[in-house]
Amino acid sequence: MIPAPTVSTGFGPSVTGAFRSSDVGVDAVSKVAADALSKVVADAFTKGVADASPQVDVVGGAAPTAVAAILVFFVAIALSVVVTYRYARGYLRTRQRPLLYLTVGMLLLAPAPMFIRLVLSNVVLVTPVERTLVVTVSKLCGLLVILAVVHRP
Amino acid sequence: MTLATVTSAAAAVTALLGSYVAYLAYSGYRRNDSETMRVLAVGILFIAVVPYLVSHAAAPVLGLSDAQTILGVTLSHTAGLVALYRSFG
Repeated sequence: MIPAPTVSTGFGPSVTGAFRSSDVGVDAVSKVAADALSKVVADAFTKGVADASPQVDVVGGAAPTAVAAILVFFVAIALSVVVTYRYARGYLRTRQRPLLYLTVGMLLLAPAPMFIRLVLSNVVLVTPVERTLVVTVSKLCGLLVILAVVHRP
Repeated sequence: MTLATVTSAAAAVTALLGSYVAYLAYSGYRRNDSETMRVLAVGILFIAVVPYLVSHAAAPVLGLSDAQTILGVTLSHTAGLVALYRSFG
């Protein structure tokens, strides 16, 4: 009956939540940007996409930046999966042990933190700081595994 | 020591370790003329080090908004991953 609030609560928090545990120390895409983004989506649903943008109050150009950040984030997730997959394929083809370590290291360094961020941000039980810690530890482990490959005493 | 302190320390250690691994990979490239190692150095630099610099140096100095900071971080991730992806030819 009232599509706008449904869209706002459904889309806004899940999208901003994706960044809430970001390792950058930023707790969320700014509230302003998130609200603006929700308005974009809400307006798109209520008034049609063509009329949406003029209806949005953009503060400091935050909404386009937030939308761009979200789009780039999903591009990065897709790329991280593809890159890790290709390392894995390389290992399966050659059976070289260093490639296996590179695959595991890359998995822990790129796709795992991104998916952890995406999933844990929607779990109420975990605080933002705890999420950031989990993401950082995953990256740290990935780097340690890659270190084992590149370190030649 | 609070959890926030531990998290900040872990992030700093990750950036430092990332720099070291990138340096080792670059050394490997110089020593063996290995393209894989060169790309790995670039990839790790942009995935593990540059994002930390963006959020802990560029953001406070330039007064970037949260959205701008996150865009910078994700662009850096993407650049590193594109470099790694292209290395597969």
